[in-house]
Amino acid sequence: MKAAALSLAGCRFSSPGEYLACLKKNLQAEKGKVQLVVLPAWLALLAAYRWGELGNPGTLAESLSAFLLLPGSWHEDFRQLHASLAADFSVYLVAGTDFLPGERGISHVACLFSPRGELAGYQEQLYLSRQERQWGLIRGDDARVFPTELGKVAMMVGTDAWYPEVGRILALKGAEIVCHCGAMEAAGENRWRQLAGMWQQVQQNQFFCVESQLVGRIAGTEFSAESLVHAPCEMTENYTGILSRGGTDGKPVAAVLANGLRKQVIAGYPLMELLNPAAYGELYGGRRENEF
Amino acid sequence: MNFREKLFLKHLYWRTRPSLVEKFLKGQKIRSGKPFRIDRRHVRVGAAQVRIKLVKNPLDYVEEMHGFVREASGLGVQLLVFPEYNYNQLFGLLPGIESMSLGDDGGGTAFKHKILDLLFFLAPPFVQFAYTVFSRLAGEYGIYIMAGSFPTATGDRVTNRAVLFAPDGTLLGSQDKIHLTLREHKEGLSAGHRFEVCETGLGRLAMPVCMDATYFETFRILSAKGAEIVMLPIADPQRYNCWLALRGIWPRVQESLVYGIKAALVGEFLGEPFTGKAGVFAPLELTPGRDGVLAEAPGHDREALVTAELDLEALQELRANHPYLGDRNPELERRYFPSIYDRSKPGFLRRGAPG
Repeated sequence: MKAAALSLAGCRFSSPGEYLACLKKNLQAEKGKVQLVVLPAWLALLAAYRWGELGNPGTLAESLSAFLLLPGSWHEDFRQLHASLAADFSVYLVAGTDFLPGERGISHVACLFSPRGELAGYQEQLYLSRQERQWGLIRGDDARVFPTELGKVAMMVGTDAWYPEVGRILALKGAEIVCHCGAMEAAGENRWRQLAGMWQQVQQNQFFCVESQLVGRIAGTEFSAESLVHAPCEMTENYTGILSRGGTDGKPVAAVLANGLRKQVIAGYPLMELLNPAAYGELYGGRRENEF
Repeated sequence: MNFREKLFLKHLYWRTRPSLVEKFLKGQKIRSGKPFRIDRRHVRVGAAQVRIKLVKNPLDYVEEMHGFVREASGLGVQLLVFPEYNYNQLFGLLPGIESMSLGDDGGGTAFKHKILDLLFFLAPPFVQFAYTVFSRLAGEYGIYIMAGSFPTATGDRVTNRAVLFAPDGTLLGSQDKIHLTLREHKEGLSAGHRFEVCETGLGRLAMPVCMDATYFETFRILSAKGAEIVMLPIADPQRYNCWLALRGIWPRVQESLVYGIKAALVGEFLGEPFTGKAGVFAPLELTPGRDGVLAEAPGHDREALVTAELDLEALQELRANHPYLGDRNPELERRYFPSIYDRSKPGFLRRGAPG
């Protein structure tokens, strides 16, 4: 099975049609070869900003405020556009992320579409950054794993990459492929941050990860980081834990995910079996909320 | 235990008697360390990278450990960390040990199936000796010493136990390894079941052992219990690879926002190569290169001593203000912890751990 991450780098668009054309152009080389495609976080916000739906916001926070005023039909259209893309290319598609209202508040959500263009699953962000808390976003309360023809697929949104609890739950629920939608501000140190994020989640849980990072600008805030396909070190060249990397040029970052080989690695080094739950009685017992 | 074994054990106790250590260190004319001033903004720590050498004379072991402590003290180190299995050098006291091997392909006589018996036999004199050495060195130099870890026999169990000595030489605390390797399971070692944090004048210290750093749970629990500095003794029996080495303490330090000190046992032991780089690690934001590394040994197979200065106040400030770490999700945590671990199936315990 082959999977790819797209970053949106180099995609110039100012309308839904141009956006779709750009995605199709970037995916064309992989058409018929990949079965899973992952797009980055903040995609709906970026699209709305580029399509001129948000007016002229000066900051990211102003962008989000304007974005949250868009009608429900806008989000439905955005979903439908990606459902069609998934069907056109006959792939499972993680369509980046959207901010969606619910009963308790606004969640940051990734959606998975099937090759038939159906919604196959969704996942809210589970842990929030300081800024996201200030914006009033709410956390999801479940980490889901979806059985597909490709294997058990899960999604991890934004900041969750740095919370090992999420990876552990997904791994113990049987996730084989975790799709990560990321958006990191261009800061010059993202290589190390990414190693501390999905790379380490993969190494301590032994699943695959297709990590798509946003490359682009929203209201003066620049986002840039490499997109990566991760695997346990033992099944990658020179033990890097990375099957494929790049994406800042807009090209798909693709790799074959050899699940049989991954299972062999796990059989020789069964990390989940070496857990010692008898010692975890104090996990979360002694921590107060919002404190280490 | 038969008569010959009893006799040999008495011989070992005699050869590793504490008075030898006392006499040796008296002869070293140590300039006792002055009590150091504690400044949480400037805590100097060190990590030893020990190249294993089987010793025929226990005093060679004392001399080597003393060398590390003397050098570290001279550099102003207040807390020095030693590696995992830090008494294995004393296996040299066993006649014919050089022809034995840990694995099947070393060309020697493998004794791995009897390793637990061997540890029950050897641990008491070796632990006594090692404790004497590090207690005296800590007391003489007036610094904290985490002596590394030692297989330790208690009742019907052998655990891999790390120990910390105070500047007055007293034993401050210990930590049994919680996550055993496949080999340790197969050898019959027992796992610990509780994480410990030691309150000291320098800060709150913890000392999980090697494989414990593979699991985020270790550092989450220790951090929640107040640990600021996590010391990690390792003895990694594989060829060095920087990516494999990165899978331990470095990501744990990043996700749980603590300082980390790693001490490594290197060199060949009974036909197996041990590799690793001693280092001092910090959250990315607290390192000059934004790479999470304050100091690291230049090589992975030679002796080294690395030192660095920690700012515990800066650590607390970072924890209070980190841009994306420090959040909690009580609903999710209640839903999944600890019940999620029911899904981790220790199948190898039933079918026998692979070698």
